[in-house]
Amino acid sequence: MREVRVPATVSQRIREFGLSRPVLVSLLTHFHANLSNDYPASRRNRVRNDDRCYRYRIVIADGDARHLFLLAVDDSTSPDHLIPADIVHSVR
Amino acid sequence: MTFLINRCRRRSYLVEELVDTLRDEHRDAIRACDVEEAVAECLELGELLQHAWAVARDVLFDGRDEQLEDMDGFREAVVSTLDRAIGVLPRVRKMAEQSMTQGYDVKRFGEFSKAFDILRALRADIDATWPAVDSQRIADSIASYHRGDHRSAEELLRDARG
Repeated sequence: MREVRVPATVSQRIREFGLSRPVLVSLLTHFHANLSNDYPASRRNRVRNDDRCYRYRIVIADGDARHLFLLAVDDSTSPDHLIPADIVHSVR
Repeated sequence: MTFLINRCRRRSYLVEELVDTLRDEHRDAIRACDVEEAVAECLELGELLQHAWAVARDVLFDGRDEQLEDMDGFREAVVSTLDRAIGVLPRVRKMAEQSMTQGYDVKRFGEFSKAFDILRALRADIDATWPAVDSQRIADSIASYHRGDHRSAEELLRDARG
């Protein structure tokens, strides 16, 4: 099982999203628990213009709102680690 | 979802083809009638694209993965179709304005500018909700990783829980 290592650039970006604590905890729980577990299935969804990464999607319900996080996860740089390399966030 | 996107894509090609054939029509009255049809086709395409993005948005926020196995490919199909529509609309508008200058009435022309604004707003919404992957951010993150400037998700989670 690969360990998820989050670069400082991505941590900084997540801070800038200004998430509430429950949503942040839920997001990081996905990072910690689901990213590795889902890896065999999700690795197939490669990023079009950067084959080092695959796409991963996280949806978190927050009352009536839903938070969508779209990630590019690098699985090529290290054989031991999954590296979330890009993340975008939107709410509806 | 793929069916809907294919439907949009083919309709956008159709509008382009129709506009190309209009260019060769030199009889003003016939051209004015055809322009009116092209305006109607553009408006229908605009409605179809609005519908497609609403469905795509639902799928994205729904979180089920089975409908989006190739996320980037899917996004590319939506965006290229929308861009094609946005590209053809000004050509149709110009033709419609020429016909009106010649004294012909072009039905639904009033709705046309609104449709153009809606498609541009749709494009902006896609870029905000579902932007293309940012290669620079990926490069910066991998550089950060190589510098040893990274933490485990477990540590970050522990900090967030406090």
